[in-house]
Order: sequence, then structure tokens, then C-alpha cells
Amino acid sequence: MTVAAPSAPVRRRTLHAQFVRRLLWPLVTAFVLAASVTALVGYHAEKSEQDTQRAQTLAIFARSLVKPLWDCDGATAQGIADTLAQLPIVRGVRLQDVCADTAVETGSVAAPDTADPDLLQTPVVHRDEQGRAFTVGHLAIQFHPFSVASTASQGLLQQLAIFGAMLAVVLAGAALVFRSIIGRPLARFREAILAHRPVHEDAPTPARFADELTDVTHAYDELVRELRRLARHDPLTDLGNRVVLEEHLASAIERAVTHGGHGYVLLLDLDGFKPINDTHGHAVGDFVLQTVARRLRAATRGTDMVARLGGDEFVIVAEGPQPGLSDLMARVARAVEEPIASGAGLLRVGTSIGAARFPDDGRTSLALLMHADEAMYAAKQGKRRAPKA
Amino acid sequence: MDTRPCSRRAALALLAGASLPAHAAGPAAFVVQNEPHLAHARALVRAALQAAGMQAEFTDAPRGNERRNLFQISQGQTHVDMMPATPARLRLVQQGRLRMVPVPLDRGLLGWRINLLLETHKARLAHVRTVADLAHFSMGQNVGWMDVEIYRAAGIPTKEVKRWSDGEFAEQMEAGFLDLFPLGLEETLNYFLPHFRKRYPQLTVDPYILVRYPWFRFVWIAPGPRTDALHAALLAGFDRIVADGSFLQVWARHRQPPAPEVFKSRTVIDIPNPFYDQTLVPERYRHLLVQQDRP
Repeated sequence: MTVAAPSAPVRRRTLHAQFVRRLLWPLVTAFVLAASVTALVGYHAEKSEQDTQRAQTLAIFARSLVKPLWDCDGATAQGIADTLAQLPIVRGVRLQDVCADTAVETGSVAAPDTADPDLLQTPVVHRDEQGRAFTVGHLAIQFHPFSVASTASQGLLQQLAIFGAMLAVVLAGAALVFRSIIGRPLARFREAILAHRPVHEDAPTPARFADELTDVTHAYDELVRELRRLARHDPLTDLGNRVVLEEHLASAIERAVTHGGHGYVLLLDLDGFKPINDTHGHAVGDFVLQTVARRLRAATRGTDMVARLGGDEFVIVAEGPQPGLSDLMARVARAVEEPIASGAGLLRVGTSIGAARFPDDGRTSLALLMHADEAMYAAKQGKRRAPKA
Repeated sequence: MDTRPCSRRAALALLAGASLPAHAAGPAAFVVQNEPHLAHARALVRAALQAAGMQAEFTDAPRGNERRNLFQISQGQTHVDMMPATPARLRLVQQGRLRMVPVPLDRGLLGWRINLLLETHKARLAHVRTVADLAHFSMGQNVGWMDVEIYRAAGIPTKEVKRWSDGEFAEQMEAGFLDLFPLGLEETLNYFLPHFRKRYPQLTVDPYILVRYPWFRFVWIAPGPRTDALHAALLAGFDRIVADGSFLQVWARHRQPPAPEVFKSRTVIDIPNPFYDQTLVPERYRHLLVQQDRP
């Protein structure tokens, strides 16, 4: 037999932290991919530009060398070659002066027959007035090497800065959006759960969009409302229970006291219910209770309140002027005593009713219910003592 | 260097070479210097070839400075040019890398130099009498010209400029970089001054000074078998036209000796050429040199 080791406490990590941590790696991957593609594209663009620049440099300097070489002015030609060698993109220059029969080399230059992509060469050709070509020299320029790595390294800092800025903006934006869309609704949800109340307490302002979280909170609200209803109502008859009765009665008493009115509390106890329950079973008993509850609602006004205290006890709270207490009690008694058609046949129950008047007989629900209960008890005793019809 | 009259060997070469183009492919084609101020020299070359009985077609050589011209002809890319004798050319002749016909195409007038200067400075040389006086002025010459060495040897400060053939040195005179730009007397009066004034009307000729030094324009021929017959024909032809007087007739069709007025009020300053003197011109041609030095 093995004993499960106590599980280590789960580390707490906020959704936002998880969101950021999971977002970071895709972003870094995206940056690496973007930087690679940028470097590659940049290399091709830069190479094309470099090729053009190299060709232009070669052509321009070859052109500028034509006159001095044609004039056999070696000093000027050397000066031009030296200037060329100073260019940042140039590693070395070799100039062959046909007139002087010399070749001057500045910097590092590959041999003429080397297949070096960074070595560009051209003859320096003078064309006279008649268009005849005279080769007066030969110019070779060795350019600094150019590679993907050098291009990438040139733009790396810039790209890192851009990526850093983008990352900061994305994370800050994500934090704000996360807080707005998830963080705050979750906090409201949590508060609602802790307070045992719906998230959308009153008629909620319709959200702009329904999302998954809205679905969850609405489902939660439905659940809370149902639980609330079950906590305040009798599940069998759907009448209010004692909680509802006491709240309603307290309000009615306050209104009566405030406005100088009055009202009645009627406590009903069914007569003959227990034998039905015992004889025909709980299902028939429940049916009888449901029927009685429905009839009581029908026999009272819409402003009156009917509650079930439990078992076969019902309470009616009637506010305001009445046709008369005795009429009310008679109407209620008739409604209860009507035969009930059930699967077990026609059934009959009676009722003993005790009444209390408020605020005269009491200003609390407890006092009034006790008063009504005493009256009801007396009525029941009276029935027992009276000879049966 | 060969300054002797046409030798027997040259005559044989002439006969051999001259006969070849006629029998084979018509007149021989040669690349010959051709510049506007050398019309007389080119005409004399043609006259000499005609006198020697050689038919030839000329193609113009590309234009360049003296260094380029010397390179072109010493490499055989130009076959004939008519340039002043310089130490470099004479050295190549001695080395057998260049050939010359030492006939003074300008009759020695090339060494008679007058100065071009700005019109506003026309009187600047009015009081110059000696070389020492002239040394107070800055002269300009083209890069590579031998004149530079002659003037410098005489103590006259001389600067080399790259562009001159259209009078561009006038801009450097206005900038204060140059004072004078000397050229040959006859070529200046007959050709250069009117040519320069087309673009630079502010240029004029100094009326006070005439500088002279031994300075001769010869005919130069590229080395090699390609020009053997040409060389021989020119040697023989020039001998012939000098002897029969047609040299002077052809020359007179293009050039004129300076008028006596040119010398009026001009101070003549003779300076030596440190590289050669009049003996460079063979005795048989020396009578061609203009001897007049005073009106």
C-alpha cells in the first residue's frame, strides 16, 4: 500500500504573467525570423547597390584617368589612384601606366588573373577626335569583401532597437488589453462569487461583444439566481418560503405603520392531509399540496402573498382594506375544501385558519405568526370539539 | 645621330620600300601628325615624299602633348610627326628608337619667341632689356615642352600648365598665376593669336621683347621596318627639295618671314639652349635658317 505524498503547493502565476511568458518566445522567434529575412533581403539589396557602386567607381575613376594617362602625366594619375585607394569601399588599387610602362599598386590587390568577385578591372581607353581607341592604362580595384554576415552585423543594432521598441509596445499593449478584456471581468467575477451574487446584478448594460467570458458570467448569474430562488421558494409548490414570508411581512408591517393602514396574516393548517399522505403515498400528498397552493393563489389578490411554512401549513398575508376578514377566511376555506381530483380519486382536505391583524396584533412577523398560530390552534380545537356534520 | 646626307643604304631602302606599295597594295598608309599650325610642315613632308617618288596616304595621328606624341611615335603607333628637337627625342635617336630628318621646318623661327599676355598688361615688358629683367616675370609653358628647361636654365621662372591650345592660360594670367606665355614668333602672329582671341579676346602680343634660342622643328619617323622606306624617302626627298629650292617655295605658301616692323622697338634677348645649338642642323640645311635679327 502506498501513501500518496502530499502534493507540493502549486506556484501561483497570474494569467497575465503566463500570457506574457508564452507570448515572449513566439515574439523572439518572429524577430529572429524577421531579422534573418531582413538580413537576406538587405544583403541582396545592398549587394546590388554595392555592385552598382563598384561599377560606377571603376568607370568614374577609369574615366578620370584617361586624360592624365593620355598625357603621360604619371604624377596626376598616381594622385588619382591614391585618392581612389582612400575610398572606404576600396582595399587596394593597381594602375598600369602604358606610357611609363609601370604598374603602381596601392594597398592590397589580387593578381590580375585571380577569379576574385571583389576585384574589378578595366582597361583605360582614350578615344581621339576620330573615335579611335587607344589603351593608355589598366585599372584594377580591389574592393573590401561583402557578405551576408557583414550586412547583418551592420543592421543588427538597429534591428535590435526596433525589436526592443516593438516588444515593449506589444507587451504594454497586451497588458492593457489583457487587463481590460480579461483582468477586470475576472476580478468582477471573483467579487461576485465571494459575495454570492450575480456578476450582472441588475439589468446589465449590454456588452458590445459577447465573448467566452460573458457566456461564463451569464451562466454563473443564471446559477446564482436559480440558487437564490430555490433558497426562497418552496420547491414543491413554488410558493415563497419562510424567508420570503418574513421579508414580505416585515415590509407590509412597516407600510401599515407608516401609512396608518392594516392587514391580516392567515395561518392555514390542512385538516385530513396526513391520512391522504399515509394512505396514498407522498406523490399524492405532494399533488394535494400543489393543488392547494394553486387554489390559494387563485383565491387571493395579486397583491396578497401566499407562502408555505412547511408540511401542510400555509400563510397568507393580505394588506389594505379587505371585504372582510371572515369573507377572506371563508373564500380561502372554500378553495381548500373543494374536492381534489387525483389519480387516487376525489380527495378532500379541510383547513383550520388562524388570523392576526397587523399592526394591532403585533409589529413583528414572529409576534403575528404566533398570534395567528394560537388562533389557528384554537380553530382546530374547536373543530375537534364540534360534532361532525 | 645620323645627320649625313642621304646614304647609299638609305637610297637602296627607299628603292625597295617605295616600290613595294606600288606593286602590291597601292600607296602606303602612314599615321602622320596633323595640327592646324603644322600645315607648312605637313606640306613639306608631302613635297619631300613626292620628290622621292614615294606615294603615301596620311592618316591623322591622335592629338596629344609632347610626352604622348613621343610615346606614340617611339612605339610605332604614329609614323611621322613634326615636333621640336628635345633632349628626350635626341636621346631616343641615339638609342635607335626614333629616327629624324633634321631639316628645320620652321627655318629656325621656332626659337624666336614672343610673349602672349593680357591686353591690360601689354606694357609690362616695356622696360625689359636683359634676361635678368625677364626673370621678374612668371612664364607658362605646356607640360613636357623643352622650352621649360631652356627658360629655367636662363633663370626665368617657368610654370607648366596642362591646357593651352585654345588660350586657356589666359585664365591663369587673370588669376595672377602667370604673366607671360611665349610661343614662336611666326606661328603666334600667323596662327595662334587670332586663334586664341576667338575665346580669349583679352589676350594680345607683347610688342617690346623678342627672345631667341636655338630651337628647331624636325621631321621624326618611327623606328622599325614598317617605316624604313618612309625614312629613306624623307631623307632623300628633303635633300632634293632643299637643293632645288622647292622647300622654300612650299614653305612660303604657308608661312612668311617676320616683317621688319615686328622688330621695330623690340629688344632682342638671346639665351642659350642648354641641350644643343645651331650645329644640330646639318650644314646642307643650315642656309634655310632665317638669319635676319634686325629690321
